[in-house]
Amino acid sequence: MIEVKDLHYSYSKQEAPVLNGLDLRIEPGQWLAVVGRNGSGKSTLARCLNGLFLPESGSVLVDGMDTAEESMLYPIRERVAFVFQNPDNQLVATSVEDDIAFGLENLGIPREEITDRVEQALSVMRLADKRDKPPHLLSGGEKQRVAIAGAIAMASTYLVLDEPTAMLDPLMRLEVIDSLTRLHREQGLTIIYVTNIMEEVLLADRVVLLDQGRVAKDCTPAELFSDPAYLIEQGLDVPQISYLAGRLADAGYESLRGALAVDELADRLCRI
Amino acid sequence: MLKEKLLLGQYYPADSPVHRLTASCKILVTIIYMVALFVADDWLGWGLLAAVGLAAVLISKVPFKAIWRGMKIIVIFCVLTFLLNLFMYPGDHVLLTLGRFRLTAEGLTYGLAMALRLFMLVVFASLLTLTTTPIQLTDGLETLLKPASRIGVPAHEIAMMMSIALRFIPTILEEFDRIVLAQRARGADLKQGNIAQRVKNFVPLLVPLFVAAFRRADDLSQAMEAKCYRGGAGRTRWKVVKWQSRDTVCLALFLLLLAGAILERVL
Repeated sequence: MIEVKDLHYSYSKQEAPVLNGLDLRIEPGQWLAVVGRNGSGKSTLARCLNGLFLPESGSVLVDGMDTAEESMLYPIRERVAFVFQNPDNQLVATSVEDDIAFGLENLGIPREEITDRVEQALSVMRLADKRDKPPHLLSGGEKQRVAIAGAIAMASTYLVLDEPTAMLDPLMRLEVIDSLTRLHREQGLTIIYVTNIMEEVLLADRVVLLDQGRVAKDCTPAELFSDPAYLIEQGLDVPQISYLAGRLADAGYESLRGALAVDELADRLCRI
Repeated sequence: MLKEKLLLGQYYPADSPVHRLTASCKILVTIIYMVALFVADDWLGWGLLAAVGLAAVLISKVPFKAIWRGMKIIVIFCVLTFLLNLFMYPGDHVLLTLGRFRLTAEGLTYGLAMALRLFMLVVFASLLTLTTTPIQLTDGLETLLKPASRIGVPAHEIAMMMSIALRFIPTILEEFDRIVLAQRARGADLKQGNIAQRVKNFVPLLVPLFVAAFRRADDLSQAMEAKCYRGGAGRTRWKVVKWQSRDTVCLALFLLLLAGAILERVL
């Protein structure tokens, strides 16, 4: 479990704090989406979860380990893997398999075990045929999958993704989302997914909306989308179906409120 | 095209005994060969070393054309060295007098020898880069520097820096292409004017390139930290190229060659 307690963080003394007394508990096995307008503290929160940023006050506990304790940093980062937004700037090595092995090498894992774990990560992420490719010959989606493969190889329990599809085209986005859904379902990986794309929020069990460095709403995606007016006020997009369902609900068809998919809305409409 | 060329350096892919040698062995052998070239002081030695170099080229299956491509400028240097030594080297056996210049037998020998040494040195060194990928070279260098890390040489860090540089060359070239297009779309004229103007035209290309490179470096350092990177201590090297018996044999042969050259000079 990751426990965030009264977390405060600011980039410099002159600026207003980015995180302002944020509380959050993330249970293992969850898929948590984190949304909020630019500057609401999404990315900062993500970087606090694995100790890349350290709290000014308050605390972040990962399975009981405090990120503020220096000796805990590496065990924490082993458990909480991170995938960044820019696919180009997070691959270190000159080939796919070497990049997956990078984290394992850093942990000082014996050579034979690295080979096994890299092999497994390659097959889970369906990258086996790309193993020798240098990063610059991969598509953006493949690069993000390599980054995810590196996280799996480290046997992390939590995967934090900071807008991993923001720089990808729609097809590659699906490719990345697909592999994440598979990992979540098959291996029970806990996913903390920072995003601005509302369609991606629908994948989550739970969504946290940040506003001015605090949790403004903590609910299911269905509940979040049942109030389109609030989303717009928060500077977020509303998925078209939710928008339509919300408008119809406001017009008196209360049973339609919170419909997320076309089929679901059609179903409910038929029952009226 | 340019990207691929820069990435592979001059590497010529082929399956040969020279390609199969460990990079660290090849680096050592290259150094030994260079030393031997300058220790040897008569035609027997030079001839033998040239024959060894030629044999290495033949065994490597690298075509002469590939080697010649990198040699064109060096040949000019060789000719200059030859001419310089030919007329400047002191000697008594005058073969020809051209005005103020005297062409001596000693000058001729010495000039030829110097040109040959220089030529063979560059042939052998380029054989190293033709049969070894940059990343193998980096690995080999790390292996060779490892003993020096005890006296404070950051062997792992040097190798890591080199491999990250290799990793990012194509990415940064792509970025450069993008910036060129962006500036041209804004009407920048990059190909006109004299040299001073053209250099000035490069400023709007280099500034964004550097800014972007620093941003990349920042991102990358975060990504490395997130993956528990903390320098070379306690780190596993996953792919270690094992030193084979053929490496030992090869190194021994070249050490013998060097010993022979030293003995010949002393006796």
